[in-house]
Amino acid sequence: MTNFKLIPDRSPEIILSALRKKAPEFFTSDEYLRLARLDPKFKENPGLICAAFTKLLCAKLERQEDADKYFEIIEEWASSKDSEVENYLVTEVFENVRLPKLGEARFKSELGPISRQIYERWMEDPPEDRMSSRSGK
Amino acid sequence: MITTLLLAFALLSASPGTAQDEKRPPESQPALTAETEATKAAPELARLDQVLTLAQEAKQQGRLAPERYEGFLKQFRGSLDTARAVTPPSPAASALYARILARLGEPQEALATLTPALEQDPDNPNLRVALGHVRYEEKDYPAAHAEAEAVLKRDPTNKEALALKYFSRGRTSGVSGAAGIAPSAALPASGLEEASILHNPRIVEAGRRALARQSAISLTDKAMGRLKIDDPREALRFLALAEAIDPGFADVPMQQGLAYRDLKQHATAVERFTQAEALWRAKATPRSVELAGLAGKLRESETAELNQNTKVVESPVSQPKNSSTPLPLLPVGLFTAGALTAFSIYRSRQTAVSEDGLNPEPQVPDDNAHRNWMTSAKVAGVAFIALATWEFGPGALAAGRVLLSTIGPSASPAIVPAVAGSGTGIGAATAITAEEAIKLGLPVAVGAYGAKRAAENLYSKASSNSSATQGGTSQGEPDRDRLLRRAQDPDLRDSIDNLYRKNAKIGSGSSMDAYRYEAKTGIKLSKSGHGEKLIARRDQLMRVLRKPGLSSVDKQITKDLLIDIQNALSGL
Repeated sequence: MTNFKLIPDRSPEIILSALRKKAPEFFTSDEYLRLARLDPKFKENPGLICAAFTKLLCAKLERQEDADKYFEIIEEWASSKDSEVENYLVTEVFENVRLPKLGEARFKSELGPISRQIYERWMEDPPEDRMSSRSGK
Repeated sequence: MITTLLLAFALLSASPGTAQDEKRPPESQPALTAETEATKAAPELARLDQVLTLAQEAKQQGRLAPERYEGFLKQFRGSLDTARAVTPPSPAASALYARILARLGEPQEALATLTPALEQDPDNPNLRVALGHVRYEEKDYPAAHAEAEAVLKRDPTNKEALALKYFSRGRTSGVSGAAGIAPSAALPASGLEEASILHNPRIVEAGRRALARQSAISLTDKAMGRLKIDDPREALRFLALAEAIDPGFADVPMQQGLAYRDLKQHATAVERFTQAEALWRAKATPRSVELAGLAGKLRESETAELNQNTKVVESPVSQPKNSSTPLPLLPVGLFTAGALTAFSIYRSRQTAVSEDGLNPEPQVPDDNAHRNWMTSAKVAGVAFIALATWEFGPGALAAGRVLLSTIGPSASPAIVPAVAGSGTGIGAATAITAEEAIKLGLPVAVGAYGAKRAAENLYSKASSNSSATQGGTSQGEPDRDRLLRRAQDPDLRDSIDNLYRKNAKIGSGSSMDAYRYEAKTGIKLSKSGHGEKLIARRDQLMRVLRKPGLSSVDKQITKDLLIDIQNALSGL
C-alpha cells in the first residue's frame, strides 16, 4: 500500500513573498485593505489577495501608470511550478482582468513568457483541445 | 316672576355650578373666585347668596315687583335660617352668612354673627374682610378700610382685602391714595351714593365693578408709563394691584406679559399673554366660543346638547381654531405632492455613477426607486399633517399618526397622492371637529393601507421575477451585466465581477457553471479547477449578507448567488 505524504500548501507563501518583495505598496492599497472590511482573515486568503492584486493592476493600466513590476510578480508566480499558484493565476488573475478602455489584449501583451503560455493555454484554448493535449493527442 | 325665581332657586340647589356659571356675567367671576373658600365650607349659604343676587338684580331691573320681592325675602329668610342651622360652624361660613345679612340690610345681625367668631379667631382674614364689608354697607368706610389694611398686613396678596381697601379708600380720602389712584378715576361718587341711597346691593355691586375697572385702567396706565421708562418691576407692582382689583381686565395680563418679556422671563410672559387672549376671547367672541368655554364645565350629556345647539347657530363650514389667516392647504398640498412625485420619478430613472469602474454601471434599482417613493410619500404625509396640525390643532396630528402608522415600512406611487389627499382631508375634517376628523381620517387610512398592500404585492412580484441568477441570460442580457446593474453594495458587485467572466462561453459565464462543467466532463478549466474560487467567494458573500444596511435587492442577489454556489459545489 502506498504511503501518502501530505505536502503543505506553499501557494500563500509564494504569492505573498513576491508581493512583499516587489510591490510592498500593495499592502496599503485600497484593494487590499478592502478585504478586511468584511473579515480580517480575508487578508490572508490567497485567492482573494490575487483578485485584489488584479484589480489594482488593472486600475494602474487603465490610468496608464507603470505596472511592469506587477507583471514581474505574475511571471514569478507563473515560474513557481506550484499548481495552486498556477490555478490562482487563472481563476483569480486572468479571469478577473477588466480593461474596458485598453482591452484585455493589452494585458496579455505585457505578460512574461511563462505566464503568457499559461494564459494562452487556460484562457484561449477551447476546453476540448485542452483535454486532447493532456491526453497526448 | 316669583315662580321664576323659585325655579332658579331650585335649579341652583340642584346644580349650583351650572346655573352659577351661566347666570353670572364674566365680570362677576372674580367675586366667585374670592368666595371659593366660603363655597366649599358652606355650599348652601353660597347658593343662597347667588339666589339673592338674582332676586335683587330682577328687582333692580323691574322684572320683580317690590311686593313680590318682599314675598321672596320672607321665603329666602326661612331658607337662610335653615341653611345656617345645617351648616357646620366655621369662620368662612360665618363670614358668608354675615355678608348675606349685610346685603339684606341687617348689619347689626351681621355684626352679631361675626363678633363671637372674631372673639375666637380675631385674625381670621375671612372674618376681617366680612367685617369690613359690613362696615362698608354701614357706610363706615374708614372702618372698612382699616379692616382691609389689617388683613393686608398679614397677607398682602389677599385679593378681597385689596379690593375692599381700594373701594373704601376711594370713598374716604377724596384725594390720591398711596397707590396714586386719582379720585375721579377711583370713585364715581355720585353713582355709588345713589346706590347707597337706593340700598340696592346689585347697584352697589355694579358700581363696584365699574369702580374696579376704572381703578384698574388708571393703574395699567401708570404701569404702561413705567414700562416706557424701562422699569418693568415697578410696572408689575401697579399691575398686581390692578389684577387684585379687577382680575377680569385683559389689559392687566397683557401688560404683565410685556413686563415679564422685558425682564426676560419669557415663559411667564407667554403665560400672561395667553391669559390676556383668553380674557379677550371671553368678552368678544361669538356664542360658539362662550359655549365652548362653558362646555368644559358641564356634564358630558349637557356638552353634547350644547354642541348641537352650537352647530345650529354657527356655520357648518369649518372655522379654524387659529385666528390667523388660513393656509392655502389644498393648492400647497397639490403642488408639494406633484413636486415630490416628479422628483421620485426622476430619481428612479436616474443612472447613478459607478464608483468601482465596473461595466455596466449600476442604475438605481427597483429597491432604490421603491425607497424613493417611500421617502416622498412620508415627506408629503408629514408635511401635510404638519400643515394641518398648524392650521387645525392637535386633532389633525392624532389622525395623521393613524395614517402614518398604516403606511408602514413601504410605499408605492399610489401612496403619494393618498397621503397628500389624506393630509388635506384630515385638515379640512379637523376644522369641523376632532371627532369627525378621526371619522374621515380612518377610511382614508384604511384606503392608504390597502394601497400599501397592493404596492407591496406588486413590488414582491417584480422582485421575484428578477431574482434569478442562473440559467444563462434574460432577455438577451448576460447575467453578469444584469446583476451588476441591480447590485449596489460594492463588495457584492466585486464578488459578482469575480464570479462572472465577461465573454465566457460556458454556461452563464459564472464560476459556478465552470465548476459544473468541470464536474460533469472532468475537463478542468484551470490547473486544479474552480472549486477553491467558489469556496472563497462563498465565504465572502456570507459576510456580505451580514452587512448592516444591505438593501433587500442586494440581499436577494447575495442569497441567490450563495444558493447557486452551494448547488454547484454539491453537484447540482
